[in-house]
Amino acid sequence: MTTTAPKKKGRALNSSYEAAIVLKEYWEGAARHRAEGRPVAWVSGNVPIELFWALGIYPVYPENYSAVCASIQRAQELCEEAEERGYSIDLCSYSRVNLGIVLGKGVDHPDLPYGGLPRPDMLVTTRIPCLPQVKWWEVVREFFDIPMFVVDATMVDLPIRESQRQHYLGQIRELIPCLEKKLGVRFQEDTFLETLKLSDRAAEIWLELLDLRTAVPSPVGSREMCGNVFPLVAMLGNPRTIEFFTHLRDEAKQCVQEGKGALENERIRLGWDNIPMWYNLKFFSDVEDRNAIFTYETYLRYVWGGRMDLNDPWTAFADKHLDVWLNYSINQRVRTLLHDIVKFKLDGLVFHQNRSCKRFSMGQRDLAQVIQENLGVSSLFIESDMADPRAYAEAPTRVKMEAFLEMLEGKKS
Amino acid sequence: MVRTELSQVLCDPLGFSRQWSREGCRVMGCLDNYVPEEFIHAEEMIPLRLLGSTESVTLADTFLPVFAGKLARSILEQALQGNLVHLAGIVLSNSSDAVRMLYDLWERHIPGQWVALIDVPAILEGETNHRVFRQAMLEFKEKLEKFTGKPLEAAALRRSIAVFNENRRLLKKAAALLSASPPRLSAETYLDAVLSGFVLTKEKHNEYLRQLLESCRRETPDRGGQLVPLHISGPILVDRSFLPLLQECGATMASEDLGTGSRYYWDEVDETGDPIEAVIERYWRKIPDSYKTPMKPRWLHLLSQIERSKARGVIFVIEKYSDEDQYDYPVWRDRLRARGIPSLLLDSELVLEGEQVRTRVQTFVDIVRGGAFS
Ligand code: SF4
Ligand code: SF4
Repeated sequence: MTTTAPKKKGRALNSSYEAAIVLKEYWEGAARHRAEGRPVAWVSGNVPIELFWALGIYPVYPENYSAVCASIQRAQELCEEAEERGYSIDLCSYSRVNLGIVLGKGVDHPDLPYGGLPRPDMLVTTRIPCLPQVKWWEVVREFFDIPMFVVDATMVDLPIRESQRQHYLGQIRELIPCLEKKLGVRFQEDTFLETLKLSDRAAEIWLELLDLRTAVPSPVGSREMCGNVFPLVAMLGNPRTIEFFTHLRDEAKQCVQEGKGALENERIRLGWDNIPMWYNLKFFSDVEDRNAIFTYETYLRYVWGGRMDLNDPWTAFADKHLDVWLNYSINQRVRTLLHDIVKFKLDGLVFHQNRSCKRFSMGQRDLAQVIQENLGVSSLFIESDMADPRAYAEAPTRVKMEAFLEMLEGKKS
Repeated sequence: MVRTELSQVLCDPLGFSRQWSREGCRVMGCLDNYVPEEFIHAEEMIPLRLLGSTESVTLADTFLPVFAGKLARSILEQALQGNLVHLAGIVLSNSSDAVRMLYDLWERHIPGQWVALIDVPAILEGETNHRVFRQAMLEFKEKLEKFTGKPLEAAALRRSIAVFNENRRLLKKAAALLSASPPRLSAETYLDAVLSGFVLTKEKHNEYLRQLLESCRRETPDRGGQLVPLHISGPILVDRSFLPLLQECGATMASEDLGTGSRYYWDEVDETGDPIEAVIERYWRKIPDSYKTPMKPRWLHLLSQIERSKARGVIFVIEKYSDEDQYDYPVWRDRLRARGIPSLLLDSELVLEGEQVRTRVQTFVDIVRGGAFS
């Protein structure tokens, strides 16, 4: 893109450099746990993560691992491994990366990032983000031949209905003894409630951090924030998450107080819907040359880590897990987005039509239509994939983005 | 001739159902195998299974990306084109993500049409899920009662169950004739017999099936002797040109476990005890479709069908973007391979693309026939 303003180099927040360290600690922790013979479960997005930390079961996130592989440009070869074994190119690329590893070189191949994925003792997944997740896990179970538990849920409109809440909690009440029995752990409510406190504290700080990005100029853009989100997915209930998020929040707060933005001359504010292209996070920072910043993401705000009212911890625990973007009906997504566009003072929305994550991508056209009609906010659709770079066409996407920014600039002036 | 009657129904299913609406019957569009059609029938409505069309999708493209799959897109297209206005309503269950999203889109873009979502779990295991499944079915029943303004009478439901069960038994008999050696029913007729059941009233369908079975009993089987018997698996097979193609390649469908076939009709409702509970139990226990977990009963069904028909190979006809089936396929393929049964995967988007499919099927049939598979 043509440079019209000087660009700030490096991270907007110094604390963001800590993200790589936390991530490394997490994966090293997993390997250590495995080596010490303690239980390891493979879990997926939106599983009741706090339970695992409270029970001393290490929750290993293959989805994150797939994102890591994508970010270091290793996803394609692993996707191809899975495709060679008959898994369609149309399937979720996180699953293809994972199945490429599991069915290909094997989970502990030294050539893999962080020395590989620790073998699971058990599989726990949920239908909350999508149905294919469950199917993917069934393939993994077929391979490892280990116990699996699936937490079901139906999609929600807020407020969550009591019956939906009870459905979720009923399964949690089945999951706990199942984990105890299969993995030889013991559930203690006190420890669990303590873990919930840690989780909620982390979520609180994270949401404060996101709210700081309503400031004009915004203290930090999407590229950096996508790199920072991981502990919210996998480490809720772990004190390290609070520590890291506090550093981020405090630094962002300082910036906002000083009126210091990630861009020197912020002119256009953008939002992003769907999972980012992990192999191409640069997409977010490229727009900065045009004085535009991505300062809002449905993915970072509503996919994990909602708040919990711990006066009623079980209800709050259930609601938090059900109250996520991927589990929202289209009507709920519309309501939420309309609210946030105003709150974050967005000039435009970029919808990633992510061919992998169908649940995220279906309904996006409705969202675009509504925000245009109700708020006059325009959107751009780009077609791609979160982990498989073959689905991304650089040149036409750039041209589209350029034109979109020009249009938004025109609207502003 | 009953064979002609069955195939005629399939030339224009919507046109056929429109006629009923004109005659004052209420037709209810149903979307998958977890809609308890017995309830609809007992409320004196005609369930019509929506299976999309092969026509191109234009209006629905605005709302659903290509990767939502042809079936969901095509059904939405039919609705947006105004081709479903004669339906009293639409019922879908919480099956695949695409179908679930279709419910939201229906509410938003097809205003004024009654639409019901049966919000059942996808995981058919565990006490909690069982309770929630039952509750979702009961809520649907209540919604239906409100819609018709009449409570669901136990006696009427018992009669409906009997009609549906008879239908299932007749279809099973047809399946047995299909897999007899030599076959006593052609694959084409079997497929027409199954698919027409989604359009006709169950009473009429039963009548046709009885006639069909009777005519098969009288006829001496004279064909199919040299055709290689194959099993067909997948979520949906509505492309009626596929079976003639198979035959031209020297093979025939001897059994199937299609979502629009035996997975739909195989399980009966227990006719003793409370009829409402019995219907619900039937759907909870039926052979799970690919979008339901666990997968084991589905696999066992597939296997038992192959054993029954002595099929020498399996063709998976899988809808493009139907993730559920795409995940199952390599697992099934490997398990079959371990048993020495070869398989072939064909992509479909309600239709199977002619020439490329022909070449692949021909090669596959040659391999199966030659026993070169290892
Ligand atoms: S399809 Fe989307 S929600 Fe489902 S596993 Fe893949 S990335 Fe996660
Ligand atoms: S074929 Fe699969 S994805 Fe398509 S509607 Fe049926 S279950 Fe859903």
